[in-house]
Amino acid sequence: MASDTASFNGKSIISIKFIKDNMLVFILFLELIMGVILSPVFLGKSNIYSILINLTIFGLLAIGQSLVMLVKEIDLSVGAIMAFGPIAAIALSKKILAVSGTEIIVGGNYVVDGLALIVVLVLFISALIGVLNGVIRVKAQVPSLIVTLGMLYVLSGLSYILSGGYSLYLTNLEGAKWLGNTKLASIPVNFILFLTVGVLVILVLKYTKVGHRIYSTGGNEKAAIYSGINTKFWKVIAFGLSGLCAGISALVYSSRLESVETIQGSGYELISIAIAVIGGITLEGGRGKIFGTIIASAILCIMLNILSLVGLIAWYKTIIVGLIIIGAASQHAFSRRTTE
Amino acid sequence: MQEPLLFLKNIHKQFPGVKALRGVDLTLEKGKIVSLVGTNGAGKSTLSNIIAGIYPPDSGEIFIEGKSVTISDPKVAEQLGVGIVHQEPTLALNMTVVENIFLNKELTRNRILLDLKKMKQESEKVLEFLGFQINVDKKVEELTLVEKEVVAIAQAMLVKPRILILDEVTAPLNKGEVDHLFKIIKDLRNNGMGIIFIGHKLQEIIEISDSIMVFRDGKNVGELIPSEKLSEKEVIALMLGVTLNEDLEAGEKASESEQREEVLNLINLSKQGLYENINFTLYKGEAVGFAGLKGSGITELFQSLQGIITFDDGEMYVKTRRVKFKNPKDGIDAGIGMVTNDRQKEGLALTLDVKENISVSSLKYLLNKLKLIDTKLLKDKAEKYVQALSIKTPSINQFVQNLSGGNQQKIVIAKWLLKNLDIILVDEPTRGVDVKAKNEIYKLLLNEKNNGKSLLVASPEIRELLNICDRILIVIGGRIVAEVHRNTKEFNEEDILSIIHSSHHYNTA
Repeated sequence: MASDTASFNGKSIISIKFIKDNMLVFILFLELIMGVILSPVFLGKSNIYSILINLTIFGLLAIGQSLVMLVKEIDLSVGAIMAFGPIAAIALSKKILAVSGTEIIVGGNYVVDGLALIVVLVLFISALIGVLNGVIRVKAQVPSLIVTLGMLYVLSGLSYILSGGYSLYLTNLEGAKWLGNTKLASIPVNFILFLTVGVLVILVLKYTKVGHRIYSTGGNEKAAIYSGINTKFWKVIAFGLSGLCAGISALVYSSRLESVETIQGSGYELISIAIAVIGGITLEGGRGKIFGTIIASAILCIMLNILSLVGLIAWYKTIIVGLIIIGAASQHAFSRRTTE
Repeated sequence: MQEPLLFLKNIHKQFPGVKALRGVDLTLEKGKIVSLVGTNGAGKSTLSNIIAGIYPPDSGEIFIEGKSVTISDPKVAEQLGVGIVHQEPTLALNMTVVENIFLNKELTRNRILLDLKKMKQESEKVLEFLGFQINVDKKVEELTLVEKEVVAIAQAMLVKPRILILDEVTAPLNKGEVDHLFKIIKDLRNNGMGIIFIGHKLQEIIEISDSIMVFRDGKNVGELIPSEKLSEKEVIALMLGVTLNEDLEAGEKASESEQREEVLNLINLSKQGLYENINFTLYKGEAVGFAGLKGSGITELFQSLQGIITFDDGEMYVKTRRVKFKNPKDGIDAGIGMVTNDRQKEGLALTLDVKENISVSSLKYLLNKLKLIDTKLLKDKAEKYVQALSIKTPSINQFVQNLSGGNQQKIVIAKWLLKNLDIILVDEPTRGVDVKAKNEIYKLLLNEKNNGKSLLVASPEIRELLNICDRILIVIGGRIVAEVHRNTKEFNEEDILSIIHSSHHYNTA
């Protein structure tokens, strides 16, 4: 009799643990069912593509943000990098290519040439801004909330100055629309890119030293330092990767819309933090998994999509997103408390 | 003659405001255990951190097997064969046991991919060698205190060091575990390892060491060779640079309280799973001790009495008024304050200075006519308590985090004295505090008692309770099982320990 009870308890604990560990996947699943029930067009091809493009753009930012949060920092500049990266890259390319006599901007604001150089520079500049955030953070010992807030303002200002506030159009730039609009076996290439980045980050964190460095830097910096780990270096790396992710996200965004705008990405830094938090990454550092971030990206994008499909006014959407953030964070905190 | 394994020459180290080391020499031979003893702040941990490459010395030389070396960071120390277990276990709680053991020493295949399987096997091997079975895939935050300590030791043992530094590793361990650890340490020594052992428990030190280096104020002031004749008192005398005998007897003079005015009365106080049916009465000017093993529920009982947690059942009376505190403020308002056993986490605001910490919970008594804080009065009060408690600090404006453990603890006590509370709960008043500061804290507490305050004291060190208390209640598994009064023949360490240990099974059942 006693042993029966024990084994029963054992079983129920396992299943509760299973649900807890896979909570996000269950929520995603429920959402999909909800979407199918609430809207006939939910499973339509164009709707799915519209979800996937958002998922890619937000998801990439959120992966970078998660890395920064894992080392117990925060990056408020990712949205601003999404505008500054392309704008600065185009401005710089214009200067560089003008030397060899190539004019890449015609008709005032149509970019017509220099794609390869622009792409490389977007990634380079974005990563560099991230590294700069990190270096200021660790050298000046200023909290990253402040450093990256400052960076957000600086970059927004620079973007306006460099672009004069005008949009740049990529419609006449050959190859520019490929990343944002092409499909491979009816899967958007940008979504493949997102999954590749995601899986790569998961594998690197799990199967190389990098993961141990990042988790120990965020989990107990003193322990890491005492083991001889250069935690400042790893913080800079995390910021650099976050910048790089923002750069990739900017490429997808601009390619999709075939334009570069001064305000693009504005406010996205908060969405990226929201996704990371929903996915189980905490502000205390060292906790949470990138897999959670990826699932959370899907949860948020699908939720926003369903709310639009049922015709909810934008303000209700923001309320619901807010509730999801708070609810998810409370749930993660609760499950952590109960497992300890 | 063979070169010594480790030789330190004239090491100096200064931190902002403190000269931590002032010309220290140390020799460690192969196959020897050298203990470092000294009061808190004498420089033991600073020295071991220098050997482990946590920070460099300002001047002085380090030789390993006769070769001059510069230990610029922990990785270099590791390559030179130095392993260290730090005083505060430096583990990443968010990571697993195996990840912690291999932190920054990860094994890889083809230099990139982690060899998870091999790391797991090696971790299990090291733990097995230490005589512990711990699930290496568990997160460290899920481990017990003892297991955490073992993981920290495993971390240091992994690189098979030639020189092993153990900085206060025995603090969380019980007698059996210490014996077990000592057996391992002696085996390592017999295999030729040089071991530096740092601790506060002198009996242990005398038991394990081949020689004892005594530190005082950043210098080594003498070396003692353990023998059957060497007593703890001799070591203490050298540590303090004085001959002491009167202090330890202070408790005997404590006067029996004459007027039996009740200040606290508990009837059948219970909290599910922590303690049950606690009945006792505390009188004015009385000190009552609580003795028991770790996890016996004493800390939680104290927390309930101050309102940090609530009790489930039973009645609590403060001066005949029935109370049930919902939060610590209720407790303080009723005149009950608690000196916690985790001063850094619960007792102090480390980033505030001495005067702010002392006054933080008494601000309402320190207001001027405009109901603003009277900074002059606040300073006067703080100065007064710094003097009265002989808190060692350059000024009342010093940040508390820069003070030694003993002085921090005195500040926690000062904080409550300033509030002029009737009942002071003291949980492990001298944890991590050196002998000298210990005596001063005893005196402080006795003084309060003689001024008509009532004390409840919990401590794992029975001798401490014998010094301060009028009677001692023995708690096992959340229940009071015995009461021993001063002036009875059971009022001694052996008898009380035997009560606790003879009923040990209650605790685990």
